[in-house]
Amino acid sequence: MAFREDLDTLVLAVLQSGPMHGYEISRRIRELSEKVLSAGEGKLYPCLHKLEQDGYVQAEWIPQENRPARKVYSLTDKGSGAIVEKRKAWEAFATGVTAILNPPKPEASHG
Amino acid sequence: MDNRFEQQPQRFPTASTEPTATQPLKYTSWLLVELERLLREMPAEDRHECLQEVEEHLTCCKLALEEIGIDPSESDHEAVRRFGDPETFATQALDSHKPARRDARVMARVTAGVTIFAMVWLILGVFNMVLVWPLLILSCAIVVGYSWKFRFQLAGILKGGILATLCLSLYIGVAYIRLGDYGGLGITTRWQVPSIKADSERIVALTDQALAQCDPIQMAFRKGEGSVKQTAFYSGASYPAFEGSVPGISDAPLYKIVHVNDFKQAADSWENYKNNFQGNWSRDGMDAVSDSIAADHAGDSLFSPAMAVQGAQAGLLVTFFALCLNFVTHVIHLCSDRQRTSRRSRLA
Repeated sequence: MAFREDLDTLVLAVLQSGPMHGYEISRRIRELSEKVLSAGEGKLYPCLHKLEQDGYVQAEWIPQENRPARKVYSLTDKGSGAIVEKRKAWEAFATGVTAILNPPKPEASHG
Repeated sequence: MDNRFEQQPQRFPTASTEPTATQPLKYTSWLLVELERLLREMPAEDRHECLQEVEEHLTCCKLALEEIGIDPSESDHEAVRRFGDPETFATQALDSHKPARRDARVMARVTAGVTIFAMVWLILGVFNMVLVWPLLILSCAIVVGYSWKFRFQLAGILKGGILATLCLSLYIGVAYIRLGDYGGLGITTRWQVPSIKADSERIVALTDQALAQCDPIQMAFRKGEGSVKQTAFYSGASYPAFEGSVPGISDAPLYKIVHVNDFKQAADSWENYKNNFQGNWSRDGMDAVSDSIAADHAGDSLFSPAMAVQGAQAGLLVTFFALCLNFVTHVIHLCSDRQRTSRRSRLA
């Protein structure tokens, strides 16, 4: 199945619009999907750490006044390349699933 | 959303600090304390960063909820509820740090191996101890340091220890041989055996020569103790026939004969020493020792099982020592974790 790692794909896709911290990524996924998709907030960070280890994203600690430092993630070149591949794979997958869910109507039999 | 925080708070050891909605940030603090406990296997620095990130997330979430008019205590609760089950988070976070944990296991094995080699060398006394002690202290410090950072690496240390023990056992079995205790030989490297044999031959020849020369002198001592005392022997001058005649045993009574004050005692000592010489360092004595060693090591021409067993015993002993060291460090760290956790709970 092409989209078993769907959270990775969603995170990479959201980061295409620029660097973000974890909470913002989670909020953007919810907003962009019109609340259809909701990244499990607790699941988001292990996913981000894995993407960071694999080199798809890079992180930077940004200090804040009167608050703990914030870790901001951004896409790497590898991550940008990966999202292109994942988009293609998703389109192929979605086309296939759509075709199955909406099969062409059989022609009316004669007689 | 699966929320064990709401459903089964009693399952967690920190349930005594079960949050109530009247205490602001109680839920956030509870979650952070719980995560700190669950992530204790993670390297300290990574764990700190992970907790900091979660704290920042919860703060953002809470502020966002308050902006839409939710009560602060309720927003704290909601932020934690949205975050989800801490145990699931911890499991996934630990999985995502597998490379670091693998590094920790590798380091644990390496340090266990180094410690074992150092200690076995020390126990067997077959290596220059000036080098071994610093190595041992360094390796123990590394074990303690890594035990502190990557705790409870018992499986890694055990595997490393067993591997190091096998290597060590094989090496000691091949490289070392026990030549018996005669003449203080004991354990020696296999490649030194030919030179030891050659030395022994030379010593036997010299001993025979010394015995032939010393016996008449000893008889002279016995006959005229008083007069001999006044001679050059008493003043400490060397007697040319004796000095250095038996290299390698310069502390022997043989040498004392020409130096000590009490000639009678020297003569008695010589008598004893001569008997010992005749027992162990005579031709017959040496042959008997050689036969005994040969019998003990029949079939040991390439590998000495007795030495290998000794190396393995020492290796396992040190593995046990390294395990204890890691376990004790883990327990100490666990206690300090609990102290920090309870302090954090009190502050919350």
